[in-house]
Amino acid sequence: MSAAKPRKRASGWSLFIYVALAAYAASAIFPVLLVVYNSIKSKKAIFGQPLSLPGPGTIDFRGYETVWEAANFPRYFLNSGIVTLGSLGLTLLFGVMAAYALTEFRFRMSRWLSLYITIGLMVPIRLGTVAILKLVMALGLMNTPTALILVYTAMNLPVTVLILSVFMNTVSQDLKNAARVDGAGEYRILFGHVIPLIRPAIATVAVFTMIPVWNDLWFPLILANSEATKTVILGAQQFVGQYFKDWNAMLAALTLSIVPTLILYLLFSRQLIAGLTRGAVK
Amino acid sequence: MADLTLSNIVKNYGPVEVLKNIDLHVPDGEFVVFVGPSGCGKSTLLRAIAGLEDLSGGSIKIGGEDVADRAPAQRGIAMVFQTYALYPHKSVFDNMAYGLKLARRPRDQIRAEVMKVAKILELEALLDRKPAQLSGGQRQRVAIGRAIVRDPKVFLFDEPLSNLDAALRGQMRIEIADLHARLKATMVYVTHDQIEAMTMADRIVVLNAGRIEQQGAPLELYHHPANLFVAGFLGAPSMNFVPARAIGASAAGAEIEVEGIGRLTVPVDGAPAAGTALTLGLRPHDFSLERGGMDCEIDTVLVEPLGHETIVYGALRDGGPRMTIALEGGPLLRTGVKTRFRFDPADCHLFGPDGIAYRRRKQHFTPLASGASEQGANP
Repeated sequence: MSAAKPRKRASGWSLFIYVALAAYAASAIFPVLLVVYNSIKSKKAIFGQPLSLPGPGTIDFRGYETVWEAANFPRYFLNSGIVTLGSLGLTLLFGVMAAYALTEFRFRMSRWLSLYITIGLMVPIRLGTVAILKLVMALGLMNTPTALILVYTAMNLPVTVLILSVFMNTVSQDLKNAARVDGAGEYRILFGHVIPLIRPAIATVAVFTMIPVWNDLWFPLILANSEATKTVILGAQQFVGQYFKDWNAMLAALTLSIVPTLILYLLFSRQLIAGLTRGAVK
Repeated sequence: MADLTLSNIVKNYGPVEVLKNIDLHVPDGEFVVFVGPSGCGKSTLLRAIAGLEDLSGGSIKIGGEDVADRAPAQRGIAMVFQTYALYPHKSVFDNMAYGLKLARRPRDQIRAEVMKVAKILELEALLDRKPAQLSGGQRQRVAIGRAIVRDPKVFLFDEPLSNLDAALRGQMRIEIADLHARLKATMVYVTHDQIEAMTMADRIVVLNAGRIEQQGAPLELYHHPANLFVAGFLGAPSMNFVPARAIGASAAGAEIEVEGIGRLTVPVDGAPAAGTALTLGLRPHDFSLERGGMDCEIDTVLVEPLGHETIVYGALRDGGPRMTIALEGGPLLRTGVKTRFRFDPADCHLFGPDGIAYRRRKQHFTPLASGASEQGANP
């Protein structure tokens, strides 16, 4: 009896947790679902019954047709892909190396350097838009994916370095020392021994840096708004003008833009969950 | 195989001095154990020898060559770590072969070396497994194998047995000692476990607060500790210390007076001047119920019967110094009773006000003739 009592209380508590999490999940998913199912409704139905599911009378794929015909959407997808993967690659490469250097070596100013990188977390990069714009223009990088990749790499490095540093500290010092005694250089220790052990952390960082980059409207609008360099999110804006709004096409474009992130999330999700729960379980 | 010479090793972390002018010579083939309380600098010293820790000063010579500026892999050392530090995503074979692979040795040579060592350590059946599939003892054996494969001039062990359970620790202790006898290699072994130090070492180096307190053969250190720290650190249960006062000196040794025991003459050299405040040291195992020329009365607080011996905890007179007494066998003793224990003044240690020991006259062991020791080692 006495053993059953705390268990009962625990299950009441976990019921509460599940209800709270379910409510949170529902409130997070609801707007996304709204976009997705309204994208296959007729314009009249979108305005008339925005909350009701598409039925036989209201179903309409006109939005997807418009997106397919009207705009340069494959091009936009390609641009988004290049920018996202490019900045993801650079962020991880430099983030991993910076985190390793800051956790592994004690050198003059290393504490100040960590602090400097941490300050990057506190200051939103968008505050520096004017300076960034001037810099990009001076470098002659306006309307190139390179400009976006560099800006996003800078934007994501602080959080990447911070998360990876925490995980790198969990890699046994003895292991790194054993590799040194065996004759491995620091690059080999990092890429051959440390990174395989912190794969979950890298997946976590990858998802957290990728999604904001893919979804960003601000920097593409300012730095790369030419037809050849538009990203999907920016491309979707063409359906919302001052005098004309094509909600079907807009919602269809947004729905399509969710797909790649969803695929990548599913690919990474196992590692991501491992990364997020590591601290909690251990 | 080579000797190891440390001269004037200094290591600072900012303003904190971790190693203070360490000088040490380890002859070829010797098994040296660094022992000391945690934070004494013994692991730092070992990592400095390995090249994993930058020195603030001093030189390290292995086989006569100065290696202080070389990378760990270029020093001719191999190291075994407390946490085994096996590469988790590599098989046992690849773990052992890794150093040779990085040194770009030919494949068939690597294979031959690893197989040879695997045979010595009976790891042949495990070569394809990953470290996660091994028990603690097997993992440590693989780590030792990885060290042997490198064919180092000096082996370094950093508390290699402290992650193992007691039974396995005893077994691995014998294996490492046996390995040393077979390889005849120079080995430096760090531990905080004095049983490992006493049983395995040719020579023990006792470190405290970044300094070498004393070095010598295990029994030499046990019977002739140079100071209070070494006396208290070696031996379990540890030595009892009782305040004493010098009265005078005679040909027989130092005459002292101890509150709760009385007057006695301890046979030591260089007797202190009358009136000097001294510390009398008594090993728990030097007490008995019958033998000995002196006795003292102890208020017993706790009696631990272990079968082969009985440990008694108590205090010398009311509120006096705490005493631990270890008696052979299982005499029937009750707690909370005053009991008289006997001891021989020749077994006592005497320390001056600066904590330095007076040299005892009693010889506690006679070295075997060299022929006899050969026989004893190899029956």
